[in-house]
Amino acid sequence: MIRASLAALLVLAIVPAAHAEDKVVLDFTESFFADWHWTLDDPPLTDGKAEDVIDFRNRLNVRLRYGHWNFGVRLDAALFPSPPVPTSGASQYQNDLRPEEMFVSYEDGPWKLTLGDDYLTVGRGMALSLRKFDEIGFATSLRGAHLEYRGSPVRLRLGVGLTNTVNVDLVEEKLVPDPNDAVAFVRAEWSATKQLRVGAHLVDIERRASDIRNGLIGWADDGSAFVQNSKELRSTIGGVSVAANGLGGFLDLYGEADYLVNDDERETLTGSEPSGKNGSALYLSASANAGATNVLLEGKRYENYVIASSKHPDTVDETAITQTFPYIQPPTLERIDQRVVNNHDVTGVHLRVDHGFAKTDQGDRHSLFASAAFFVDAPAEDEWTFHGYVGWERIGAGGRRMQVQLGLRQEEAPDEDIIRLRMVHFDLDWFEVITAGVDVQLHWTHEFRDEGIGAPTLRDGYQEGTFYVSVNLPPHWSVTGQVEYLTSEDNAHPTFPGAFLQYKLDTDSFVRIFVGRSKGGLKCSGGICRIFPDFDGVKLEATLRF
Amino acid sequence: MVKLLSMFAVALIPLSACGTTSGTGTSASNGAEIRAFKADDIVTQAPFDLAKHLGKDVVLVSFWATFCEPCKAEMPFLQAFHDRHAAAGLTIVSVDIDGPDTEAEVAPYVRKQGYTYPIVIDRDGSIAQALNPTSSAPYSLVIGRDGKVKKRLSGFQPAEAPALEKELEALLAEPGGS
Repeated sequence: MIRASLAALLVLAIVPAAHAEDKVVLDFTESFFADWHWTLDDPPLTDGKAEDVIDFRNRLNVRLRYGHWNFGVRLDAALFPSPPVPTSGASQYQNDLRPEEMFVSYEDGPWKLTLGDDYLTVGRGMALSLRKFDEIGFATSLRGAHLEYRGSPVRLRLGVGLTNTVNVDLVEEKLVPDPNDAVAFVRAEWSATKQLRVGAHLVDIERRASDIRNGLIGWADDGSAFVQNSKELRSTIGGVSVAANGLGGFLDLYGEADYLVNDDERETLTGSEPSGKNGSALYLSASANAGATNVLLEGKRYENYVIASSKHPDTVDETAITQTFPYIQPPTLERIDQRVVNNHDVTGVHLRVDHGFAKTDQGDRHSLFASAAFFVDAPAEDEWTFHGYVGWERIGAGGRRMQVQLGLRQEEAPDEDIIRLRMVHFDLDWFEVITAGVDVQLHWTHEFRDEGIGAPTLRDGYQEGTFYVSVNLPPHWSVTGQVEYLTSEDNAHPTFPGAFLQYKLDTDSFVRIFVGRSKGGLKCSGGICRIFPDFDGVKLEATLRF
Repeated sequence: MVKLLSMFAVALIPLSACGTTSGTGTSASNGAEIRAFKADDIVTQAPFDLAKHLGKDVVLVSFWATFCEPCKAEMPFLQAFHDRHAAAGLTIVSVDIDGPDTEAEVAPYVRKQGYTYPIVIDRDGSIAQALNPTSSAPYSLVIGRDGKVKKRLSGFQPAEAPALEKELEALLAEPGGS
């Protein structure tokens, strides 16, 4: 950290070399969160819960621009006036203050050099994707150096650094350590023609916490020795991509292939031996536009394709805390909110057709869409999944919008003659201007779920959903009422009512308060899932920009 | 303690930089330049360079995503603003913050709706990191011909669209920057 301070000071010393007419520009974005948990459920706590837990968190983003230079830092703080106590071990609810998203960058023409924290994605996120997953609260950056040349016909990016995750977890509110895996990457793209771009990349991940052994116990594949455990040492990913746009004036193609080499090691009765299992990923997409009709066809084949952080010695033995963080975000071929628990050993295909109609005399534009996807080895090996849905969308004059979807998802294990999941879902989004100055937004997602059909332990069907309605009263007020529900038999309180009240201080700053309960459970985005705790209590959020 | 002090030193460096050079310019966010960005158009894959428009055009940068319902309600207004005022020097660019996992669905959506103004994708999240640190959507910045930020808008409410268009018209009527 001292070295980082000195490096930043050195950069600061260089700044006056910018042109005299350059001006200093400062931006602040201040976000404050205060939660009052009436009940906080967490297994490591005494009795698995604590009552009346209050916490405060703060994020102060500072951006400074001066000529070609850009600086940024976010100061994260967490305060627990009376932190809940676990049955054993140290509490992960810890007061904390630290800078995150620290960076300085210099841009000149096609060149850009960033030192510090940077988010980056290589290709379609299959070889490396360090970015924010806001929906599920992950944000991992590469803290190091990143050089980018964005010229024509060649683009080049290369970087090296340590993985740095947000330490004050906004979901679990616990303190998590940085993975600190060492990552180096290079990506080159060449635009062969105006329509054709080819790329190649190489990513290397050195597992800095490679002393940690995973608790894998069993016999080696060939039965020669008893496997006590294994540890990750290094992952290397190489890949190529091809993008062709506007072929024949109507067709876009994209293809990417990656190969993963895992250098792992395990101990056997006869000593250490390599144990890494390599992986591969192939993704293809074709998008055709014929007048009012768009067709999207995607396919993927991922085999043993897991690229995530290694465990950290500080938390490897802790329970109920996030221990690994994703380093990739490959295409799922599914809806963004779909619970995709397997996006690493799966083969799938997805077809989506959209058809738009001409504007009506009233200025409304209607469209229809249909989507169907089929996956092999999903959710588990030798199983399959189908998901299809159809919908209608209307975008009208004056901000009116409505979308309705109806779909079916079925996950089946044919060898066991079991339907793991049959889900019929209905989705409604409605945005309407009621009178001058008042608009309403309504959202309703409802799922009829049946699990384990054909199994001896058949569960009763249950329903899950979210309904909310917002009334906006510009320029200051917005009120939202919501009800989430989960009627499964293992859920004692099936409804989760709550209400938001928001006051906008000006066009970009607001204060928002939530009172009530909200449903936790498994939430996913981009094939990355994590378990959210239920919430009941009061949340206060304020975002100020100045 | 040394580690903590070091962290604070790093965090405070931008503030000290402002203090040492504030005499050369403004420290307010409104009325100041923004960081330009380069990105690929989601439909044509043609490169878009914001720097070519800053200091010349009136620019509206809008962050959106396919999973953001208010964003989808806002985009027809942006298209209408583009249709009516592009010739007068209004540049609108929407920055998509979808992840690579669902990127394939973005271009078909844009084509289906018939949007013709520049819509780019923020593959790394680096544009949001610079201009929209909380990754809000919808979130917009309005920049005058002088390259300075005139307004920031968090959220979208149709009732406020007419007033926004009037503000854009007023900015378009102003002379260009230095």
